[in-house]
Amino acid sequence: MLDKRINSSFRDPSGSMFTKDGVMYRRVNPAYKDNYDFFINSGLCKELIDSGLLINFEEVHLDCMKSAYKILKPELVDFISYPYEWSFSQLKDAALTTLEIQKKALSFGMTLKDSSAYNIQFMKGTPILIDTLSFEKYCDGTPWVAYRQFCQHFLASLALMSYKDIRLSQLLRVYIDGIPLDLAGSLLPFRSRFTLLLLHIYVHSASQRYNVQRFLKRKAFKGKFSRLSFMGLVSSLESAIRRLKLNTNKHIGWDSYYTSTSNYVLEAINHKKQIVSDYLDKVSPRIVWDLGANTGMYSRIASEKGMQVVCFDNDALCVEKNYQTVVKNKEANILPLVVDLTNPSPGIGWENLERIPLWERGHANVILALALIHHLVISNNVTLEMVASFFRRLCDHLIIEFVPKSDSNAQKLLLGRKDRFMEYTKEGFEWVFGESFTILESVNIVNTDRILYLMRGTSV
Amino acid sequence: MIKISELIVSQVELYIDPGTGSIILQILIAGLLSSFFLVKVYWGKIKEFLAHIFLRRR
Repeated sequence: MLDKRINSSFRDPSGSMFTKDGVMYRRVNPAYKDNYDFFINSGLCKELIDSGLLINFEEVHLDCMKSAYKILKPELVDFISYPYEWSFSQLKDAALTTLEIQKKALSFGMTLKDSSAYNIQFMKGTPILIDTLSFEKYCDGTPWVAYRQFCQHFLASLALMSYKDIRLSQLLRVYIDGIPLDLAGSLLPFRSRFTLLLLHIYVHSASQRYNVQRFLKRKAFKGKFSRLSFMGLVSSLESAIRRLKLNTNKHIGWDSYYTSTSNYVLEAINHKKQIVSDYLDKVSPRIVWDLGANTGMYSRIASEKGMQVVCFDNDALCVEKNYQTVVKNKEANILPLVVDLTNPSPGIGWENLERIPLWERGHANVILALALIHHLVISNNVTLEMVASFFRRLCDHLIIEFVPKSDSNAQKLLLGRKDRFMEYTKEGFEWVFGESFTILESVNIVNTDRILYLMRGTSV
Repeated sequence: MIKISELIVSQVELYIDPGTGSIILQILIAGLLSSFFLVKVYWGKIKEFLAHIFLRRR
């Protein structure tokens, strides 16, 4: 009957995701009936969808699912991504979206029963809640059950990225339910205690370690957490998140790659842009992946033609700048992600199946591999054969820039090293890639020794 | 001794672990949180009021 239960969808007794005949559905269990009806009838569902905060869906009927209360067919996310692949501002916007949803839910008499970062995905350039069954009726006097999860998923990770190092978001890959508060507290600097983090990280962490029940016995009030207190909690978390900023001054690296004002270099860049544009017009793909996208300069050639683009780069600050451009220009078809191509996101969670490995989340019509190959081969010792078969697995067409050893950037990578890359030549490159691809065209980029190729994958 | 189950009235079975400490902490700071909210909402009026007092004293 079912094709498959979705691997990450098992914890919530309210319902689960599954696929049937290749289509994705969400099952609503009878136990969730009251909350679901309230969610729809109160108007909260419509409000969230209209505001672009909740993924759209339709109620459908499936014969084989008679035991379910409802079957929903959600709109599909173009490319699934996870919080450890997001830049600082993407994670911050996901956090603020979660709090915005909680505020709206409260005003309609509901509350979020979980605040996992995995409930958020990026669609059309903005964060959106994908877990339709995350809501339950609000009972006055009840504290927020998702408070701990919000602090671990969002606040701890953002605080560490802001106060210490942007790369600490990778801890989210290790801790699937967010960064433990005591760990965050031990890593954050002393000055962070002079902010709201004192309460939401440090005191919060202590409340988990010590027996705090004895404090309740002494107090006059018991079991009271008014709606006003709830709004205060959400409001203080929002303030804490908004005040976290990224220190971009510490960083020196790839973001200055394209800021040369020399005409010689600018001519080369413009020629490269022209060739990429021509190649994209010839192939006319729907989905483009830009590997080593930097701040997305070449990605935007594709996105401006209406193609769906996912940008991958190892440098979190470049991805951050890319995303800031997406937000500023309200771009709907670019998704920048922080990914190390030599160590991409693996499957994690239960049986390593809960969160999908990066390269199993889809397929690209075109991969852009510009100014990349010399890093993979020379810096990382990946062979040309391995690179070619990797690209062949993931795309139908390849736009790739060969950067020869004579190139000044390739020379920098060879500094202080013995050149053992004998096969890394134009002829060697064409020969190896010719095994997996048909070379359709190649153009020398002016003022450089680099060659830009358009290739089509050979049939397997 | 208060039981956590008495503090959380949930229509649907809880499936995430809210953390006992997190729940109790919220109750302990409930007053602080509602004050925070009121100050945030009425900050403009509070500033006006304080400015009025200090100007009168001069």
